[in-house]
Amino acid sequence: MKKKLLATILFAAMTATMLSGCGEAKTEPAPAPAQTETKTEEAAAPEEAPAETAETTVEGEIHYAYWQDALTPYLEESAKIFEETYPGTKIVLEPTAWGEYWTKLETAASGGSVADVFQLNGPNIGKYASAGVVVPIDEYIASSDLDLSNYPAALNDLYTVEGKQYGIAMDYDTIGLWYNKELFDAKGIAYPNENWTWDDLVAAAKAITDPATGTYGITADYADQGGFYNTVPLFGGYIISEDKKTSGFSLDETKAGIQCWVDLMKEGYSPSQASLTENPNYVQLMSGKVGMVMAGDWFATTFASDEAFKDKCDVTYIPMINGKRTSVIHGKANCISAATQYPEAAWKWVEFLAGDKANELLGKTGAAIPSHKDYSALYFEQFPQYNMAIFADEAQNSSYPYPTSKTAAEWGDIMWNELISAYSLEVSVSDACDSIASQMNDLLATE
Amino acid sequence: MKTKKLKISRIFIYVILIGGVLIAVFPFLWMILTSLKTNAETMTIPPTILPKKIRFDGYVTVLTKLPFLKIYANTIISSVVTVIAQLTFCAMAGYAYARIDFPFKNFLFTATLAVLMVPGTFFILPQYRIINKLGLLNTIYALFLPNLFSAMGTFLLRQFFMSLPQELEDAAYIDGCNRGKAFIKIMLPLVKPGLVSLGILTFRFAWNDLMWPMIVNTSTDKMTLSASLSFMQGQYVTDFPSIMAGALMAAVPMIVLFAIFQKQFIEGVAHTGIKG
Amino acid sequence: MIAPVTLGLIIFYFYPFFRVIIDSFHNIGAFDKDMGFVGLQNYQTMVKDKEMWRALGNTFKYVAIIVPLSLLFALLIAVLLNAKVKALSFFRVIYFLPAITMSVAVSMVWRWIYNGDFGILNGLMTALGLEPRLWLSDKATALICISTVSIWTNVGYYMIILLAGIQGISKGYYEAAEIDGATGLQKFVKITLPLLTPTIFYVVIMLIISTFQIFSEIYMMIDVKAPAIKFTQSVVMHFYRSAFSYSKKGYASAIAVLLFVIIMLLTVFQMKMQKKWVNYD
Repeated sequence: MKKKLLATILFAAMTATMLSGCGEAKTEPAPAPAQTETKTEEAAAPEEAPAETAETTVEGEIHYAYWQDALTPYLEESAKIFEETYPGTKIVLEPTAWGEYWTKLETAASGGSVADVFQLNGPNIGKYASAGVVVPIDEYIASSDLDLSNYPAALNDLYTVEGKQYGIAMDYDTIGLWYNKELFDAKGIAYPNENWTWDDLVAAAKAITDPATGTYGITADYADQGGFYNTVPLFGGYIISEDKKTSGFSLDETKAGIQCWVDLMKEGYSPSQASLTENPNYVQLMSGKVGMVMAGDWFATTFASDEAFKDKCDVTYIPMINGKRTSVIHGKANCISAATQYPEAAWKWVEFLAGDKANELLGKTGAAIPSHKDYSALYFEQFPQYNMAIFADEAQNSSYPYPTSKTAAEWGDIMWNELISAYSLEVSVSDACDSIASQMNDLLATE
Repeated sequence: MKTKKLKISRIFIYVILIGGVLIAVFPFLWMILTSLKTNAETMTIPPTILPKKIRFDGYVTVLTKLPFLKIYANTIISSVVTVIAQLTFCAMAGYAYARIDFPFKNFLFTATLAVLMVPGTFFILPQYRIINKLGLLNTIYALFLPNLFSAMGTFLLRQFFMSLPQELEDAAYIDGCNRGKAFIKIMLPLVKPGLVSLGILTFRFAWNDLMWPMIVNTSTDKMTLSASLSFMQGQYVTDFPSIMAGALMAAVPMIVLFAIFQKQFIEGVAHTGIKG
Repeated sequence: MIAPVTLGLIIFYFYPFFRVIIDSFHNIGAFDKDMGFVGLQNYQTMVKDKEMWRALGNTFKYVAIIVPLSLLFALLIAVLLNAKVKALSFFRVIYFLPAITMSVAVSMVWRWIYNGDFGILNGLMTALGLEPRLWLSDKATALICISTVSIWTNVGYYMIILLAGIQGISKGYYEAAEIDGATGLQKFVKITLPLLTPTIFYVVIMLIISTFQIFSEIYMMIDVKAPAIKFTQSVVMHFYRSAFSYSKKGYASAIAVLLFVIIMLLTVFQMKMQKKWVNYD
């Protein structure tokens, strides 16, 4: 009796393992027999293929990694159209939470199980390109119908490493000043406008801050893209030198561009760094605790879809300093993995996402500003209630290239590590910056 | 006089016990309440205790954004396979170490013991590389493969087998059983408490493990519950109703299972202490 | 008979054991690329690494708080439950609930309870007229708050084990004591405790070894980007971040070796001490 029981258990276990194995076989990236032939064709002619883009049989299962949850509807729609255009392909979407995206991506890339196409950003392109984890796409672009002048020049540059372009930006972001109208009304202050200077900002922050009700004027926690990257240039400083050999953090001008933020903290116009780590800036804006948040355009969907908050906010230009205004411009790019088994299909997906149809879709869903200049306007049309035009204006007239280099991922961490203490008012901005400068210069020397 | 004293101490005991119950149960209550609110209701200062209207938005989000059933299946399969495999392998090995003599026995056993001393985290990086070389990254096999073999299990079961008197086995041999039959028919049933304890310990570990499933399976449909909850917390930072709904859905089935098999669970756990 | 286990152990445990030690002498960079043998450099870095010492200190703090308190409460409840209370199984089940719930889910609820702005704990504090605090971000409270979560989970689990241990003590001892006129407290101290020492020893060892490796509670409750990370992260957490967030797998291997050595020492120390205070009959 007992023997039978043991045997049954073992048998059941083995069957279960095998059954789940059978189910998996179909979805594994391992090529099914029908596809091996196409693969040898493609392997034989990877460089000639671009000459006949429309005719070559494009097949394969493409895994696509990204982080922004709001992009999912647009991606699902795009995937459907893509799969219809190229039957024999399948797009598998792999979203990952932002906090874990880079860890997961790198682990997967070390392991060789990384997605075939994945999104990269400014801080990370250097690391992935120089390690050869992503492939240059210049030749693909040259023989396709894509025209690089349709996309912001600054972003094409961002994704060019050592003369080779590795990705095409799928969107662009600039930074604006979001504000909660109710809090301004309550204190009888005029809303921020395009003529605001930094002093106006400070004054308004002071006026709105009210310990009695626990409200703050603005969020001044550590933020690079949404924070000091925009103020540092206006004081005459820079994050990294043009030749990418020296760190700008030893300059007084750079320190001043960060000090203006820490001063807001010091004066008590912002919730503490710790508080903003627990509940991020936009959450505090939405809950009515803060009056202003300097942040990117991508929050429009978040704000607009919140029943309670959507009518309470608006956005305007970031304030001027010394008569000038600048916003750092950034965008995510789709890059192809060097380890993909379907380079042809992977490129087609990247090409599709950079093309007219996908950009149109993206604009209509309002998830991000399409990088293709013919379609950016569609995005702004999704949010007539907000003053979204400022983002396009800034991109056109006051944009500043996103600072990056090959080791940007590492010095980005150093920046965060050192400055977080400054924003927590534990060390002086000057000391933190000096520490960053010396570590960053060491890194830049290795490039 | 004696009865009065007894009554007071009795009341005292109950007060403490009930206080403890409240502390134990409160987080669950709060989890349920939060999952039934709207987003805005969770972000009020001071906190809203009861939702104005019971809403299941949180649950809807979780179920639509994550292949929850698949994730559940992954976790269950991984845990169950681990337990069955461990029980089988470790029982065989434990018995062998207890009763059979073979070359290098002492050396192998000491090596096995040594592994016990090493914290699990220690092995993660090379294990990851091995799974990678086997091409099993991001599959369900990756979840349980290294855990099928346990030094702890071998040791535990060896102890149990050693505590059984040799006469029982000898009697079986006299009756004409060979070793295999004796093992299955006589020895195994006698170490049942050990098997149950090991099973529970292993299941608990496999069910709760976070770091390993997190690094080894990256697609949402290959994740385990713990990894997917971590993903949810990162993705829906401010959507507290969804996060709580997810946590609840992850926790409830185990609780239900436990409620049904209380006695076995508790006995199993109790026994880990006795022979340890 | 021993083939499967031995084979499995060799592949997944013996070989990795040596691999990790070897790795700790190498510099392994991004994408797991081995950048060469560097001798003791990782260990030298470790000695100089402030974060490492802080993580070590934090971990010892966790052990110092979680182990005694878990043991204390578990013992307390076990003793109380042993006093022939009504609805014994009801209490047992309820107390065991935290232990049976997925630890990741538990961490998530507590993180929500401790939330600095919207958490119910602060709601309670304000209602009682007390200052709300940033529990998980404040240096003074963060580590303790995470510890309470671990204690909350541990009590039910170890209570069961201790209760079984208590119930395993033969009644004869108590009867003899009663005849001699011993009070309840005397019975506890002179009979229950000494005879319970083997079980207590087991519980303590389990608690120390598992608490020393605390990771998931911290990972789930403290954002990796939070300033609070410095004073809450454990050794295992530092290992995880070095290996996966900062791509320093060689250095991480060195940390793993350190962890191993410490646990070895702790266990050996415990084993030696057991002769002093544990009674086996």
